[in-house]
Amino acid sequence: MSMPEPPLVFDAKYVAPMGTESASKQEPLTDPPKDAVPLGVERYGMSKPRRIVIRARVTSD
Amino acid sequence: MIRVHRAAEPRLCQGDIIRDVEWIESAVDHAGTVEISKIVFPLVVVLTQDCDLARDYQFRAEDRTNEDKWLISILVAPLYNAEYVYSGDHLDQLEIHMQPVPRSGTRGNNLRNNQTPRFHYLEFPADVPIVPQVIDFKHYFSVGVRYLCEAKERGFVCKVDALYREDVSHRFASFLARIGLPEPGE
Repeated sequence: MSMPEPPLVFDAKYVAPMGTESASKQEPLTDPPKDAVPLGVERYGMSKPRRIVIRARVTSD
Repeated sequence: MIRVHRAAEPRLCQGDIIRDVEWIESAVDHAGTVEISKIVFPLVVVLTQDCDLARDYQFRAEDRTNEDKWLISILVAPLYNAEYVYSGDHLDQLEIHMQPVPRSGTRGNNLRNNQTPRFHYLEFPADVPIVPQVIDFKHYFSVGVRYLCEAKERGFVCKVDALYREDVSHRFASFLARIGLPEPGE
């Protein structure tokens, strides 16, 4: 069974890094440069482990 | 910088990096009320030997006379955001305070050069959406096989390339096999 390819970073519009020509024109890029920063896309591994506590009452059937 | 594979294989593999893996800390029954405490790790890496994982998958898929090669659980270790490891607060949401590892200087350099036995530093290629991570070998834990298969289906990120995976595996084994000698005078 093949699994779907996980979503890649490059699925949104890009903004070129500051200092580049495209950034100064404020235009989205069609072909992202290698070091483009994607907008609105999560980078994994940024958050911290968290604890979740679940309480449930056991009822008889 | 390591190499990774983005496509997921059908079975669990050593070196698989999976998102949002839960570990049951405790499950207690108080007079009819069940309280379950679990920790959700944003990223974990599979440490179980790949040959064991392959045999488990093969034996579960085929009609065999026994389940001799089935695994009970899979060994994994958490990956922590390197930035938080430097500041020592990567577990503060669990109210666990860790010793900072100063980014600059000997300790930080040793960490990034994988010369600190407890940790393994991973920096991913630019086209992989993971910030630099640190594996803490001391925090290894195990999860059920079926649970991790389901977790992989919904949260597979990538698989560490064989060469770099062997490096992680070898260093983990060395960490587990280390011998703590007493301090002089003890």
